[in-house]
Amino acid sequence: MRFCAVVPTHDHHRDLPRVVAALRARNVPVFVVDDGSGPETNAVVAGLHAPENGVTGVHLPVNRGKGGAVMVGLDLAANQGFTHALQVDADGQHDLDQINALIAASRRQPNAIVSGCPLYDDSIPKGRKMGRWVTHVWVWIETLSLAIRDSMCGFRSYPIAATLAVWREEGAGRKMDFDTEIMVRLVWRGAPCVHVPIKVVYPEGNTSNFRLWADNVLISWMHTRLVLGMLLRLPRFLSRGCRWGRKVAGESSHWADMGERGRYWGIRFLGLTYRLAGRRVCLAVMAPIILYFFLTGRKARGASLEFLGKVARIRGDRAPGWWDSYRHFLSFGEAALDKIAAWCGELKTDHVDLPHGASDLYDFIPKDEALILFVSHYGNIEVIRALASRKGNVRVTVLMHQAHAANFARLLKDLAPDSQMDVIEVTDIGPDTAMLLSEKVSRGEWVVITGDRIAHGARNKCVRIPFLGEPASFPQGPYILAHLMQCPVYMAAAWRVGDRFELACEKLADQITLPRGDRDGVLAAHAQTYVAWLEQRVIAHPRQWFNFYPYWSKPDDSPSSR
Amino acid sequence: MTSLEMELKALIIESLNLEDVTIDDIDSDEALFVDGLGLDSIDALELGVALQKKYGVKVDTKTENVRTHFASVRNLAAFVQRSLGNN
Repeated sequence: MRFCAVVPTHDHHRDLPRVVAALRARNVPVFVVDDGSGPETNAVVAGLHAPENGVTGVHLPVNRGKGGAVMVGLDLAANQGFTHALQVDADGQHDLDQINALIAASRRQPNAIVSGCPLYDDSIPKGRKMGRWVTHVWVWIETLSLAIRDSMCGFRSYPIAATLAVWREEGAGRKMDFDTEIMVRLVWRGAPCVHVPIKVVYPEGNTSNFRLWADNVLISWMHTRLVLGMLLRLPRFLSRGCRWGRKVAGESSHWADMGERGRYWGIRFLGLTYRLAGRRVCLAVMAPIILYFFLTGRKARGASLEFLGKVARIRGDRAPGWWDSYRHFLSFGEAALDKIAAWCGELKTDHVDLPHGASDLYDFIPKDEALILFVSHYGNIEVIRALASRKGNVRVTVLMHQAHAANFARLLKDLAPDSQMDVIEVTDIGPDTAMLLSEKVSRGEWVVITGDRIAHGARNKCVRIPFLGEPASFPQGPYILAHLMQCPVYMAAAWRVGDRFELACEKLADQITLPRGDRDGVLAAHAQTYVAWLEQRVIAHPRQWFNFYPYWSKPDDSPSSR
Repeated sequence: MTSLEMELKALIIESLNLEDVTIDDIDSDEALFVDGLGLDSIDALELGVALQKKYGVKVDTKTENVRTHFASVRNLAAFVQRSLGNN
């Protein structure tokens, strides 16, 4: 590894000798690129030019912009056998004491883009500070990660070959938009990001080359480009398990692992955005992503249209179109966001309307008694959890289908560490699950189970019940569980209406007993009661129904996994 | 017939509401499910819950062959005996 430094300058010469001297003091060869400056700067650069002493001055007669100038420097450096180049601004606003720290970080991770991460003092102008935050958020969206903590700092170390490849194959902004764009594009190619904290001051009497109007237009256009670039690369990003680059040797290679990690960080990212920027900003961030899934998810879209069509027929509405289906998708995204908010403790439970104007959830549900709660993929059940846990001590066990359990359990542990909730993975209720749950029920805990989806591997354990005018498959498990536990069964749902939530909760039975002679008959009768209750809610707010698969197909219609 | 086997037969009759079956009707080696006594999968779960309540036993379906444990009263007795011994 051989390091050098590239110092682009456009009419900055006051601090240039100091910057070059600092680099030379650490034995770093320097390329000063005079980017079409005036005669004064020309003279200073010419004076510094001393190849025998490790300083090369280059004069570009026509201004090419910062990006163009840096690339001229990188090209020269590559020709002379350098592998890595520091980029240092000529105006002397960087913390030159950190030169060695940057080089050391680069040595540790040769593929990484190493950037200074400025710790600003009070000399930063207010407007500039705001602008920086706007850029941070855009860059997080463009890279779908928080890897880049600062994309605007001009003090960094590039792996030369990778950077020149980006420039030649994709290009990047040539002016004020260069620093951010080249970094985002390196990350898209899988370069890791390393940040080294540095001090930054705006030296007095400093003249900035920043042009308010023109450069803001330039930067807005850059973000437009980068967001589009992100969307184009999204399929590949997702197919790699939510990562930009190829896998590096030694990293975990289990795809499920990666997918899970990707989702996990995606959710953490949204959670953070929710906390910092609020719900509306999150929805705006999510809208293009949801549009992408809407446009590419033919099956889910078909299922949504089928469902909306059935509801429309019952309500006597016109047949639904793509716009209605997209709104259905959007409402799914909104519900996902509400879940994240609930886990982060940001969901306001005083925005929940309880039935009959009641003030307390425990007006409907006995507080200190074991019970089974039937829930569904309608609305947002997290609201009920948030409400239930507000008053404290109810211990809840949630039964979940295999694929989601582990990820969900980890998320919950991380986001809501004091949540009184256990998650049990269950495909089919076996003797082990039954025994475990019976123990919990005997201690007065709640067991929550979804009543609207069939688990993988439990396809024969379903009951066909008419739903929105046509028989659909519902799981037998919840009723069998109720029969085993012999405790009261409640049906619950909560859903969003504008800025508030509504909640419904009703007792299904004090006990469900399935007599040996007529197990199926009695089970079907209870299932009919539940499905009718659910159907009533679904018809009232159809966009809160979050089952995006062919709901009315028989389980054996699709032997492959869904 | 050991006393534990006897106890288990009584538990089966009681927890599964087998009204016209007596302890003497159940053979310790007879298959409990499908053939022999003709119990179904829900009965198996119910029996599991009853065992948990009475003896505090636990099973792990990942490491144990539950089907074998529940095959007959004799197997069940051996399983309960072992579980109690471990505690």
